[in-house]
Amino acid sequence: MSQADPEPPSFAEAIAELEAILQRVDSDATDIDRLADELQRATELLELCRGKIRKAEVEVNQIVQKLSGP
Amino acid sequence: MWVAGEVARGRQSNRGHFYFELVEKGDGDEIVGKLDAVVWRSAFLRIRRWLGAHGQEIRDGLTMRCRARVDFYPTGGRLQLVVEEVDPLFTLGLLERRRRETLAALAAAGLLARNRLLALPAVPLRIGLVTSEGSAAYHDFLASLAESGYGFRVFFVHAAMQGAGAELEVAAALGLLGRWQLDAVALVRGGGSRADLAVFDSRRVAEAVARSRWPVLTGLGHEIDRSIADAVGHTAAKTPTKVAELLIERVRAADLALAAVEQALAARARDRLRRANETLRRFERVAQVARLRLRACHGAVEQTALSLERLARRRLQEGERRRQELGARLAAVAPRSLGHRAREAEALVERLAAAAAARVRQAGAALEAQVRLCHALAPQRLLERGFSITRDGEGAIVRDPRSLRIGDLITSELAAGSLRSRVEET
Repeated sequence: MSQADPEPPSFAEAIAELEAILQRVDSDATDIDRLADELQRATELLELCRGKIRKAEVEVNQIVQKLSGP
Repeated sequence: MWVAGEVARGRQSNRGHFYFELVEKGDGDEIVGKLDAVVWRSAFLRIRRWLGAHGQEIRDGLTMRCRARVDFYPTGGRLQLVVEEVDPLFTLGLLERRRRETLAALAAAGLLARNRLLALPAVPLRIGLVTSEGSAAYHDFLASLAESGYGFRVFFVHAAMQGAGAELEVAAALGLLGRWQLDAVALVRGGGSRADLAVFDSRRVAEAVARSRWPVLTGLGHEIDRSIADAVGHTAAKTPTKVAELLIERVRAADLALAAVEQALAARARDRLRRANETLRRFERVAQVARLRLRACHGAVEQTALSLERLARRRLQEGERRRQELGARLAAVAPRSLGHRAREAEALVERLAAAAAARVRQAGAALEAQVRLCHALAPQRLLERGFSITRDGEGAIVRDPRSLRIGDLITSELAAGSLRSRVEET
């Protein structure tokens, strides 16, 4: 749970972390004190993933108008 | 005579004959030779049946080799080929043979599965697009992505999808997209005839697809045939729209998975809190029971203490009362008991003396009996141990053999009886 991490996790990393949080929350290993922190982090990760999926509208970058033949 | 060429402007007459032009094309797709041709009805039916069995038909664009004779029509002043037979290997084969050769070459170079082995990310949102700008394929693909509402970013590179230069443009476009960080590349095109697929059967395009840095999803718009580009790409779909749907489905699956994780998280967090709450309540109950029990204990102790105190006080009172009672009685009897006491003492002494004397007598008698018993028992005990007592005729105990003479009668007393014997030797 390194919030200082400058690089946001990739989608797959975020999902993996979410799964880990899920397991911790489900087991009695998590202190109730930390439950809120875990949920907070999970919410951040969910937002991040959602953002990745939804944020932008379809965006077309015309890289090359037309590649001419040789 | 055998001739080879491509079918053009084919049409079937009302009577079932098939008229067409057999053409030969140059490198630039331009027609360099042309001859009118006909397949009479009976031959046409036979040839069509045979080609149909192999998924082919006589149509424009088909390259075929056929046996024909030339008819001359003087009235029109023209020559016409009359086709009697089609060379199966050549006809089916030209494109197909080239396809097989290309596939074999790709397999030999280890390129057949190369693109398929690339991992398509769970959320493919950065998409490279190679198609002809403004084509139906272009619009269909982008419209589908836009409709999904997901945040796709499309990196578009135009390439001609048919005609001269298409191979080079497609290959170059695929190469160019390797420069950006993408999740997948879509290579799409609208429907076309089989011959149009030559571009995607070409070695150059197939290699570009196989070597693409990103998974290539093909949607080349043909229903039945798979081009080589389809075969070496990551995933082949039939149409551009299908490619878009494939990508959208993948993103949607990730989206749903996310929602599921969120729900599970919420459910489990709630569950966890509920469990914690239950534990807490259980402890509360325990604490309450403990408190009650403590109170009960406290009560019992106080009760006991109270009882003890009460009991003690009663005992004290009783003692006091008895003491007073005795005092009163003593005071009442004390004067007359004095004379009585003196007589009592005298009688006591007398009785004591009598008892003592009786006791002494009794002891003496017992002692005597004891002594007698000892006497009686002593010789008998000796006899039992195997000794015998010998007496002479007078009944006196013999202690010395010399007091007897030969022929005297003696009596021996044994434990169980006596025997008489005569002395033979002294």
